[in-house]
Amino acid sequence: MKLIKIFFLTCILLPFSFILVGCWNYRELEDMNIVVGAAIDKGIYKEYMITLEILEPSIGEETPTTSRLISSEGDSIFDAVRNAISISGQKLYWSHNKVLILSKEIAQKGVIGILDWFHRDAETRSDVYILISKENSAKEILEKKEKEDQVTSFNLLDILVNQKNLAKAPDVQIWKLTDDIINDGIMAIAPTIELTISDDNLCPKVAGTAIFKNDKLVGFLDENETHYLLFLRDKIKGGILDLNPEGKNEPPTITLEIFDSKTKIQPVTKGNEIEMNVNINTIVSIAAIKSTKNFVTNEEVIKLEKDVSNLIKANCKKLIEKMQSEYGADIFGFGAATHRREPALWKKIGENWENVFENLKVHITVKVKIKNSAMTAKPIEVGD
Amino acid sequence: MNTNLLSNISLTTSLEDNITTFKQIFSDDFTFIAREFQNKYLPSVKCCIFYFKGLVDTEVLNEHVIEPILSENLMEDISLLNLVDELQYKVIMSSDITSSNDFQTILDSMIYGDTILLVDGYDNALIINSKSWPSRTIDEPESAQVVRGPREGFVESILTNISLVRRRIKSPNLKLRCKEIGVQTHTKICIAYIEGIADENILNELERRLDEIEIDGILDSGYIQELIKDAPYSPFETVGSSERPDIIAAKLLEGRIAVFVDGSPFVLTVPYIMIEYFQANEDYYNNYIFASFNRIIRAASGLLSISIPGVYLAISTYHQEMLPTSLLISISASRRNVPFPTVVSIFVMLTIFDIVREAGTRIPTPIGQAINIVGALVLGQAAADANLVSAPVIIITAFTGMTKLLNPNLLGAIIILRTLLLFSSAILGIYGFILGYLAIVLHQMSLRSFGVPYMLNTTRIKDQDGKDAWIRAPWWMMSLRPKLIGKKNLLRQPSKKAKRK
Repeated sequence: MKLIKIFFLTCILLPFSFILVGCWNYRELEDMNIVVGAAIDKGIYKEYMITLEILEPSIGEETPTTSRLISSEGDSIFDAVRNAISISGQKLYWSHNKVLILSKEIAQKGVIGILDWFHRDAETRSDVYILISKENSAKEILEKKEKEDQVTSFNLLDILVNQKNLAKAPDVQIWKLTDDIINDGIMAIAPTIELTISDDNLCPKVAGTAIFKNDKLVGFLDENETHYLLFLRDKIKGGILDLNPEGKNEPPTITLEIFDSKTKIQPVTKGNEIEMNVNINTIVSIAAIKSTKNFVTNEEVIKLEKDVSNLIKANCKKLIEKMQSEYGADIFGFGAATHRREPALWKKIGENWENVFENLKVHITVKVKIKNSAMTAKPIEVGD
Repeated sequence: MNTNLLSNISLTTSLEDNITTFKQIFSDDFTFIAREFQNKYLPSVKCCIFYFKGLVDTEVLNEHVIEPILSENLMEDISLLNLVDELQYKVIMSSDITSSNDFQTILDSMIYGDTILLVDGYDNALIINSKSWPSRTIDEPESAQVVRGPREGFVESILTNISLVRRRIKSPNLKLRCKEIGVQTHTKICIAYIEGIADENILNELERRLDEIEIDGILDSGYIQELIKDAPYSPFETVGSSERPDIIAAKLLEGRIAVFVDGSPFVLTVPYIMIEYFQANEDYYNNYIFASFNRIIRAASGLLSISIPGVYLAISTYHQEMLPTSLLISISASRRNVPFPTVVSIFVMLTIFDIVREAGTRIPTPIGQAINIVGALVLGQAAADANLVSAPVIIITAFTGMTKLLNPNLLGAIIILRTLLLFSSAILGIYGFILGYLAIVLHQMSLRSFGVPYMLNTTRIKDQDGKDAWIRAPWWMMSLRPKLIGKKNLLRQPSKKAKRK
């Protein structure tokens, strides 16, 4: 009797264990085309053209791993992805996708449809780095390699991951872009990519920012502006600051390395009026001095600190004013800060935030601390 | 020789008749000797000794039994009241001599190597201890060699084995209960325990199980081990075995009960729990930090060796997103030209490893070299170069093979469980692996060894019981014996406990 019970229980439970779990899909690694990068352009015949970088793994030290590109078109992203099978021959495997490059055209028309597929599909991940191509198409970025047998997407990934030492482009993953698009009070940004000449070769270069309004691309910021955008977004983890404390129109003589920077955005309410207090706390060190003047004295350091904070303050102010007047896009998250700290006020002004932002008064206070002067205190004396 | 027939036979007062009876019983046995002789001075004293050639020490017989009876002047002091008693007390020089008239006892002792002396006119026999048989020297057992520790190992003689343990535990509390099992082999079994430490319930249960055994013969303690096991269908052993006297002594001191089996150098211990697989005698002789490290390594490799093939298979065929991209590339590249699915190649390679291992233990040493070379070739570069298997699979096989050798006692269980987990992973990926693993843990948790939970102490880390589980705590901290096993007398270091209170 007991055996019969166990038998029937097994008969019922066993199929469930097959049906109700997510793991039914046995597939061997070599049967898959591993997608490591994707570029999306406007199609010639259909709505989208997707270009995929697919790995061509090879054994041995002499033959490095290379990649190949395939392109396919479709009326939707998924359609284009599926159509790619008829070219690649094998099913595409998306879990190791590293970068997604969007062309200007596509980004201007709105990216939410593309992001949606990346979030919805079971195989794709939302930690894919996103890039906006400043060139005519996104495809040509993938085509250009720095070295012959290199995987472009891995190269781009390295660039993005190491951006924090340079702080001239934000690193944005799909989830972050989507987050910024859906959330009130903040506009999305993404790094831009363009081709540049390096040693007679055209190769990709990541620098600058693309500004989104809702889910549509509206404009670009250059490298310098991006640097201060990152200050305001509290995303600075490194990078350098150049300045010339002696004369205004001279080339910079002092280079400072940023160690750490903290930015706090504090909304201040005055009745129904709102103003922003931005506090930037930066710790830097002197990295290089191209002058014979000794800056490492107490007065000089205090003066230098003041100069640097003025520099940051001025540039941030300029950037905010540019955003207010040209785009009306609050990419700094002032609205989000208000939403967080003054929810009652946000209810009143939130819907009209764009107008509020355009006339928003922003007070910036910058505190710079020079921590040390690296290995040598005195400037290097040039002998006779 | 039918036992039922023998029960009807008894000794008579006529020596002639008795000799005939013996000769009939051992009619086709040329090792059976019946030697008749008389006393020089008193020819009416007719005697006959019965023994088996090869089992007895003939020197003892000649010098201490035959010679005194032959040449002693029995007439002088003989009272002639009872010649047999007279011989036993005054003539024969032997340290162990008894008299009996039970035919079955006489036969049993004779088969065991004793000599029987019959005297004409008396129906009781003298059983003279003259056992002597070829014996191996006591050397280090090959199954468990140590760097630090005694190099003695048990041999095939039960008496030698008991003496080896007795020499370590010089206490009158060490008790030995003997019995014979095996309808044909009459194998001597000895239950050893320390009175006052060992749990009587376990002892009674062990005796009950041993009494229930009804088998033709016991040739090794493995028979007993299987016959008294708690969960007969489980790959896990619930009866331990060891070839080393120091291990057996230590287990006796912990309150366990040992079973010596004549003819087997492996002595059994009960109860046996999971954690004992990972305990080695060297742990207790080395520095405790080093010992704990070794024990953790052993436990970890036991775990790794059952799970590596399954986990690799599950991740590389179901959950590729879990692999780092660079690893994904290299695995994908190495699998490019391999014709078989991963599950097949892993299974085949593991089986080949086990074939090589089995061949290595079974074949004579001179051919062993060949096996090593072939094994190395098959499992080595050649298989990968020929694209029969991918390089990661070879690494998996080698690692699994290496790790499972750390726990030789666990070998049988590892091979079964590893295969189980491999196939459950092949069907359901990491989910299947977890299900399989759960099944194993549940099974282990449900096991009992002589009433003691099999997974005893494996969940403990801090308290007294945990001090000798995954780690080996220093001796001065282990003041208690394992609970539930040595529960009758828990204090191992009584003064330590008193001081703490």
